[in-house]
Amino acid sequence: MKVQLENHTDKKAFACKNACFKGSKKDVCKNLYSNVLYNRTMEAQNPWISELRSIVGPENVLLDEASRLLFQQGAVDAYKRKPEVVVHITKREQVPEVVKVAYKYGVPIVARGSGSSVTGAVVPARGGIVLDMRALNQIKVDVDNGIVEAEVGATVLDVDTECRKHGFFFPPDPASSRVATIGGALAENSGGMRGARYGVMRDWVLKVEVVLSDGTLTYFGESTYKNRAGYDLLGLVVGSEGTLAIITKAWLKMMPLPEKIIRVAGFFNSLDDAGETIFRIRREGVNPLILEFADKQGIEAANKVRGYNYPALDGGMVLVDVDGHAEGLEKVADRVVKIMNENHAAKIIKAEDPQTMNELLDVRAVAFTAPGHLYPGFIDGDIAVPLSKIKDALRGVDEIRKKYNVFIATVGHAGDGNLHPNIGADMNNKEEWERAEKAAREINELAIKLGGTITAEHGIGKLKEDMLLEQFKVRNQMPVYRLMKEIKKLFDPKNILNPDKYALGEEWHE
Amino acid sequence: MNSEEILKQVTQKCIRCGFCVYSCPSWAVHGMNEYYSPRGRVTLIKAMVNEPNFKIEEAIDSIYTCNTCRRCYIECPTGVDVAELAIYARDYIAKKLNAVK
Repeated sequence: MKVQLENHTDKKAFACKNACFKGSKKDVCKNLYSNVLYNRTMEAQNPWISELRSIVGPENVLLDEASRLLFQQGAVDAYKRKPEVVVHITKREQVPEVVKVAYKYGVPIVARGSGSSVTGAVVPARGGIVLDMRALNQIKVDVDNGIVEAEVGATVLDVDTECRKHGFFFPPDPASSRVATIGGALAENSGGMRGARYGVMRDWVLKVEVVLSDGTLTYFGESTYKNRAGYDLLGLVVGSEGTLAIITKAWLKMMPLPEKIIRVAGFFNSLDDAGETIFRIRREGVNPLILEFADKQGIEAANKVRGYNYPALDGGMVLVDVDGHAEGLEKVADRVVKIMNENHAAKIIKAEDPQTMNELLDVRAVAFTAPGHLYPGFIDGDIAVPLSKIKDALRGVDEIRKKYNVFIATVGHAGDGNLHPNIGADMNNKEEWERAEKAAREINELAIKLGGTITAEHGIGKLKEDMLLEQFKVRNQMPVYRLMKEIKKLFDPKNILNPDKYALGEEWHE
Repeated sequence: MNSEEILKQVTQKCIRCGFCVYSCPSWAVHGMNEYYSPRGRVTLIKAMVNEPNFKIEEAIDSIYTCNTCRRCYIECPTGVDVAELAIYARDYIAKKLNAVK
């Protein structure tokens, strides 16, 4: 077989030449040859690689060590595996062709957006192909029909920004909206802060363009606000974590921008007071745009990184946005302030100026990453409980923190009962890591006990496979699991689409 | 602390969220290639200082294309300064490859 040097390798060679000038000819040339050798061996053993090259162009099929290293994991270190190749998709039309090749040779294939998954959902668990979809970022706003069309590589923030140019906005706002792609957000059925009122991605998608496991291109749903034609396969593929089909384009709903937003932050001395405030705000029918919580550890982290000076008290912060017409909005905000006062808030900030508003939101955003400041390991928490149980959940997590003596920073979209008790621990310290894992398990068990769920918006991935089955068992939903396995087989008979995730791998059974 | 220790310590703070990626002009001009993104740089540096089998040459192009503008530093929720890391990494590379005496 004739071996052609692909462009990327040439680029590497160029870099190596630079280094050669600095006097390390031998090492560098060895490196260059090792890449060439890897390419030759891979290509000789895997004829599908040259087929991929002819579809996307040789410069977009990356086989070098560094690229494979960069695409081996999501946002957590606990799960990783290098893919055989990374394919940069530059046009939507390439996806069906690439999937056809993968289907023909039975090569595992994982579609990837920005790779910010905290559950290991983007890890190529069996190697194979990783599709880097980020270049598919076209967005078109159809104002007349209230629809925004977006390719899957566009970030959620990009879509929101485009809508805002026309006086609209896109409601789902994962904290990572700056990086989270539409494809990733759909695959994980992401939520966000505005989920307190507007729900999750599933509630805002009307239609998707999908590529099935054999490379067939089709569409689920219609670009109308209502549609009852056929089974709701759209609902099935949203939140399927790439195990059923690859989404390439989405038709999304958008909302008119509210006239005005007032942001109220209350800082509390005890978790019970904070929990009661969250419950009362919902119970008394305020209907906030966002209703967020960040605990002491989270606020401390934000103060440190951003140089803020917000009170880091034991009860943390409850952050509320109310929106609507300018007149009368003051009244609603005052009601929130009143509820906070009734529950012994130590400090209340009512913000209308953009700077304070942004800072408060930033505190909440940075709080999520608090464990990352102190520990090299991170276990994502993503539970949701019924609204009346928020207080119990907050207290329960606090008890688990004390019991296992681990670092837990709890933040959350408390308005919809969703909490993120994130654990920080040293992965290299076996004893500490085991404690952290036990604490994570207990937090999930707590959610199940309180009548909640182990995942609200981050999904299962590799992280929560055991807990998914646990929840199904407790809730008498094992038939759901059986159906899931059947559906997976139906959609993906060769098991090539993001295999070994979602408790669908061979090692998982009832 | 020498540059190796600094690199080991600071790269541990990266939680791979990717906020930095979209702020990076180097990433943008290199066709949105992860290899030329701040997150890519941190990941490669981390591998470079922690994994004995990792070939330093793999990371050179990535590390030397950081223009040290620090836009990523503004975005980073855990306060990783990739520009500073890149400079330490260049020092580390130079010493390792024995290029600068």
